[in-house]
Amino acid sequence: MFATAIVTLSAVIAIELSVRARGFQPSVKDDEYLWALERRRASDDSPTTMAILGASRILLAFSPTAFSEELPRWKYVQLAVQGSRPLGALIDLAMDPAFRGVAVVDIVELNFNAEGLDSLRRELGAFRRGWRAIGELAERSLSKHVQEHLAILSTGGLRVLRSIWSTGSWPAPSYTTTAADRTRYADYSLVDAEARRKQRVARIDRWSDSLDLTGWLAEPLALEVFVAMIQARGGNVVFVRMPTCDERWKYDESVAPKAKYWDRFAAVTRAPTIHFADYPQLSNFECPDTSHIDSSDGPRFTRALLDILVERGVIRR
Amino acid sequence: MQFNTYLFGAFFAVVLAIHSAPLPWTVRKVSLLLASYVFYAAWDPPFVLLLLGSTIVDWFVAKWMAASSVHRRRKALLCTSLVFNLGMLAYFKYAGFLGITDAPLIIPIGISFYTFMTLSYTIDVYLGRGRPARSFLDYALYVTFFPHLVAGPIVRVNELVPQFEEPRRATGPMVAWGLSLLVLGLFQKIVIADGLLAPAVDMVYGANHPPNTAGAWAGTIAFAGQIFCDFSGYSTCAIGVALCLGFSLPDNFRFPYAAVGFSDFWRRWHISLSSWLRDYLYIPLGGNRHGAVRTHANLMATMLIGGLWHGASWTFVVWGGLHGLYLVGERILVRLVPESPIWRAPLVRFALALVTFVLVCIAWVFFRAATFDQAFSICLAMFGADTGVTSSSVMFAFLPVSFLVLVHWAMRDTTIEAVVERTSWPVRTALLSAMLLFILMFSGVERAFIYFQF
Repeated sequence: MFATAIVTLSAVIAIELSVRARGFQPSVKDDEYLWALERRRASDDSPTTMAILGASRILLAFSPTAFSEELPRWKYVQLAVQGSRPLGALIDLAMDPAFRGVAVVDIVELNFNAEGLDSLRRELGAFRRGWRAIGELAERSLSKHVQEHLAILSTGGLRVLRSIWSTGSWPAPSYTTTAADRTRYADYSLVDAEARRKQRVARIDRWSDSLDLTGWLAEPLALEVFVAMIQARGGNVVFVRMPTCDERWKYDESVAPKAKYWDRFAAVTRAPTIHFADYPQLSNFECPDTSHIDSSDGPRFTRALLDILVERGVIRR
Repeated sequence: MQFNTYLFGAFFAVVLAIHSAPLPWTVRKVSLLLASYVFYAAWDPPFVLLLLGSTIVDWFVAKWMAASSVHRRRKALLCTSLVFNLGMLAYFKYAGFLGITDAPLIIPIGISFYTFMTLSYTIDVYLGRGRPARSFLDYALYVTFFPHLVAGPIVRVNELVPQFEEPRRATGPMVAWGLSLLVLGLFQKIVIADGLLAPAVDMVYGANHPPNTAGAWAGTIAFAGQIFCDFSGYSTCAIGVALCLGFSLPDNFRFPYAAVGFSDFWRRWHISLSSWLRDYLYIPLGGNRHGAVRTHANLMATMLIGGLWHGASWTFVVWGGLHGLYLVGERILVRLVPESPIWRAPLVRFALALVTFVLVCIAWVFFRAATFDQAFSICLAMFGADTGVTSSSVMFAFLPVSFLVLVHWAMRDTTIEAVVERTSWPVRTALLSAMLLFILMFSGVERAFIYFQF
């Protein structure tokens, strides 16, 4: 057993160094229980807690370093979930008297609908299990600390075996990594950006969304009651339209022109709204895949967003 | 709590440290009992009460039964135990199946396992085959002992309670062998079942369209490998963990994919369940004592109930029914086909083992499929309806499962212990280290053990 421990430890160190040299980085497994752990942090009765809600755009663009430098007194809670709609989480925060902070909600016009109100069921289910999920929460608390330090755990065993079997070489590391606080980083230099962009654009060409202007405004306005609940406790809600570029932005504009949809919503909601196109400092980012900014631009984006929030009086440093 | 979690690693380190400390035997047993409740509570704390209730009811039932010589009273007490345990099982697991509209949404983890254990205890006491445990602590520990609690092996009272009666401490070699079994079990679960085979199974059984012929076979054979490595992996972990604490649990698997015929298969697959069903269902029904027809009917009834034990769905019943038919068919064939040395030739036996494996795989389709429609579409694809589409990457599964079947065949008449004893320590060290490394590299995928749902 002692020999096994020594051999294994030596091999783990050697492989860890080897996979890091190949570009693999530690990454925490993100699931509903990691989300639930973060969500608990938002129930802290503090007016200086900022909950980040939304999908992959704000998940990849938010920089904790820039946040801490800009707002040293504040705490962030990353609750954005890739490929999700944020409204379920917003309603959950509104119903929680212990949340008194600011919810920054990354949302697009198409996601203001009834389906969105019922979003994040798995995550909210895990959070609402509370003490009954003690085992899962304890496991996630432990595993995130191990996973954030060992790159060997993020290699994805079968992917490595398949790649070595078919090409004789290791696969490319994933271009995204997740930290223990659910912050996600995207490094588009690790992927064939042009191929990825073409793939995205081809997908956009197949979409055929449409909005009916007559009934649309009722859906975002149904959220006003929840915005009011948070504001009544001294907190706030900010709706943010995150940057998209080129073909994606053209598509967004063709489906839900800003002037017809976002601006009308912004005029009537009691929550502050920020559309990237209204702010030059939020509009000058490149989106390698037309839909997300690279995490290397995250600090600049986060500072710009926080500056706007301060200027608009939503938060105080 | 699952063996393949960091939480279990931390939990087990604490339990092992306390159990190895120079404390009185009773204190160590109490610590094991509390640890077992913590182990169970990690899944959903309120359900500990159910486990506690089952333990207390059967403790008193057995105690009062042993104290009474009045047959009617003993029978009434046995009925109490049966109604309580089977009623609990029926309510939590089969309410929806039985058409009860407000069925509970959660099935308490391991309920099928611990109710069978407590039932065997009261039935044995009733039949005079066993005596009641002398101390409540020993009995409670028998029911809740965390290595076997949620997915077996289904241990009999005479296999475990005597081990709790005398102070025991694991020796160095026992701990080393126990940890080796834990590593082997985790390797089976994390690397083979979850890492290599589950993706292929999901590609076929998780798709919303029928597979092609090769895909249907690959996905099903992958499931055969997955369920073996998942469940045998759990049992191997359980045996290893118990051994580290100084206790021995019975084997639950003996290389079942090397079985020649189905009675041989059931002597090698989930041994603790098949022997439970034999002792508490098949034999009480009459076993093979009342002629061929009655024997076949008893076999079918036992396997149908065995199928239903796995889950509240008709697909599990059909799975059990298929195995019943296989067993009946085998008995008829054995009578019809004349004895000949040819049946003992190694190549013929290997061919028969492959036929057994293929038929077992066909039954697995019904075990794994979510619906009958899916099961039939996969069976159709397996036998010629080659109209579906499956990614060629599923074919990768043939490789590890072929290797697994060959390993089973090579190990058919031996044990892991015997093979390891013949292996030099550098090879053992290299193999264990390699397994640990693979476990680390594959640990990004986390799946619950399949048998937790039963």
